[in-house]
Amino acid sequence: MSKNISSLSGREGKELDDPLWERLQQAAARTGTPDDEALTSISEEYLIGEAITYGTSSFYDFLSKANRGKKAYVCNGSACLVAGTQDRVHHELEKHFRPEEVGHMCCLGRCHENSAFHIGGRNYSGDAIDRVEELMKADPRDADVLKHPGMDRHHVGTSMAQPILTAPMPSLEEFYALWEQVLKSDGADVLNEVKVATVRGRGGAGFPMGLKWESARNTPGERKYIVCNADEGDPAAFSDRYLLEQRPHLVLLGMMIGGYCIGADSGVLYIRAEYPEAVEVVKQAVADLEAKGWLGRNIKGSGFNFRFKVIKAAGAYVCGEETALLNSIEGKRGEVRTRPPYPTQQGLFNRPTVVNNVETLACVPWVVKHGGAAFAKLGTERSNGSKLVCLDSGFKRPGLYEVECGTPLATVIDELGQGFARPTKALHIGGPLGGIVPLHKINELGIDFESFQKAGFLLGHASVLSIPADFPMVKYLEHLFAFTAAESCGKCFPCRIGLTRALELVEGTAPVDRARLEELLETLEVASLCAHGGGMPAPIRSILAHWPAELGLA
Amino acid sequence: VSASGVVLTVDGITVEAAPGSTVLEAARFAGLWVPTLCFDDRMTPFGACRVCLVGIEGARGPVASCTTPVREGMVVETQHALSRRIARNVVELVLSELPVPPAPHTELAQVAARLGLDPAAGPAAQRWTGAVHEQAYDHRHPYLALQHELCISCGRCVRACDEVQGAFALTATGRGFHANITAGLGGGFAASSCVSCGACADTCPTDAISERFLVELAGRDQ
Repeated sequence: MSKNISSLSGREGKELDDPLWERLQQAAARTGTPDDEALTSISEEYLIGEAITYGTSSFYDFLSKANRGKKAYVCNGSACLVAGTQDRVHHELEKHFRPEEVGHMCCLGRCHENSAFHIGGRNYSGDAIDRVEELMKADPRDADVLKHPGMDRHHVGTSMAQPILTAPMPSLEEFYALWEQVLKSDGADVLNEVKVATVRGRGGAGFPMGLKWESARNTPGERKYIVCNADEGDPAAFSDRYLLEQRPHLVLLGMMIGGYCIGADSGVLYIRAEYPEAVEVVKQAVADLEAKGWLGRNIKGSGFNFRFKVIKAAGAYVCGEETALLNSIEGKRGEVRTRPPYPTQQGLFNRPTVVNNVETLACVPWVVKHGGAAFAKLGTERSNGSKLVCLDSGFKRPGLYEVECGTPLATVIDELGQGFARPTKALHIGGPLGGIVPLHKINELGIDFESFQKAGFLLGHASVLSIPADFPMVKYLEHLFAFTAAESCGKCFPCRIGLTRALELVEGTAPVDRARLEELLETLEVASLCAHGGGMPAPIRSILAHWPAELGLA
Repeated sequence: VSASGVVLTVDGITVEAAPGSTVLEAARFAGLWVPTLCFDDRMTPFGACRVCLVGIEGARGPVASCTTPVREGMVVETQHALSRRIARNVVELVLSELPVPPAPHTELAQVAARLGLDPAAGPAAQRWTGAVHEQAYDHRHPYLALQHELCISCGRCVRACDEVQGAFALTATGRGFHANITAGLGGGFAASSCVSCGACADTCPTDAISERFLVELAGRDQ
């Protein structure tokens, strides 16, 4: 990563006040990609050279030249793929758009009803594809985005008597009374509650949030940041979307409390471009907080300053990796950084930064209100609190469920999801890097880090995608490699080349060469710079182990 | 051994290293060879090629020595079998992305040969056949030539332009297998903020960027 560009992009007056990243997006707004004149003038203003603005824009799906003229996007995520709905979506859209105007987005988080697509800056799913003509006339700038005709409905349930994340929201005054209380407390005491709670990161890695906060708190720095990673675009996961759209204040207050604990005066939410509604809801929620005086300088006479910046991403799955995400906010290519230095030492604009996932942050208000011990009491030994689980359209009752950590997977499937809606042979849990779980393994698993790790799987976002019995595993394997190869940032060599070679091995009709595939998997696992390449072998090995016949393996 | 240094052993050799220095630096200080492709000691380590893998006692697996800081008492093994095997696999993958073999004098060819690969074999003799980079020869600049098909995305030229020269004339482009480099807005060196310093050509491990005088001597500019 270039520290020079980070510093230039982070200069006073630019930084989050006039981010390079947003200037590139504004320049792309008219045609889908910035023209050469804009790239040059922006680079001159930011003192970075036109190659840099060009290099950045070439990295992102919704800034690159390939995006020019795109007007409609078909979701090509895993859940819509296995549901088999997207050929028809594509066909219908081509009645209204020229073929070159139709692109792809992955994934829109409409996994509970599929047929997902994006037009006019809005997402649609389910039977909306039958009303494209009418939808094209809808004004995307409705006052209340949540009442937009494109907004979906899905079941939200819980098996908990007192849910943490899905409980009804009190009034803002009642909710932010906690903030006024925090502002009168010692940040060290608040941080201690978060440490006692042991909130492990919900984005996949499971790293304890309190340790990150403590590290950033202890790193000296005039300006620090807390960043919400709302770019974890695991196909089949829509839990972050739920929180951002339906419970934005849980996330925002979580960040404000985090900022107070570590001494950060700025909170940045980096939200997927594939969730345009979430971006708007969160921006409105921030405006509401500003109006109430819970943000700004010397908040409620506490001497503490805090502001938010909501950043919309531009289509790069790898930006869910925290260092790639930081590069993106800086207006750079979303390449993964090496560690050390860790973000808590040298993160956004070279300054101490905490990056937490949406759901992790959303737990914080509850932890601070009820105490860390109360949170730690819930769940298993090493997985505290609750977890949101998403069930796709392959269940009789698809939707989003909050369960106490440790809840058996079988309970989630049979009781909350009411069982499978179609003959099913496997579950893909925890995003593309999660394991492919054969049905006979369901009883070994609970919604917690330990049981998944023990079985060689990954809890991740706890998204549950059901692979239909008649969906060929070799096709799913090909989909996984096609997705990850296309989304590789291209920095480290094993991932950049290896995923493409793996895709070439499994494409077509010839039997898969197992020895060579396993050799590639080992290279990816041992040598990749981040989990994008390094985590890929896990689901592939599940497929090799449990469905060898489907791959034509002896 | 002074109080300020970090003492570690590399292949059994005791090395006193500066705090904050890397395992790769310690190994090289001990006179040991560790293969690298994206490393250039004039620039910040990048950690991209993953060829500098070494074994470290107690670590879960091979680590990239260029970005791993030294620690007191560390036991490093540069000939670690798994590390070397994987490094060789990675270099083999790199050779497979080039439509033509790298010239024998290049760093890539030399690293490949030393790891037991045949860099001159060419794409047809590779175990990994498949997509290769498209041939695109840009010779619009009077001194600098850019052969996109030879780019292995090591980022050395981009970092040299940024960290050594401060010209910001070069960038990586695209993503994944299609990542490459370009000058300016893609219009070549002459139309960019390039100052013709040659730092990029000097560091390039494959001759993707080279000085035209040399290219012409070699008779490639026909």
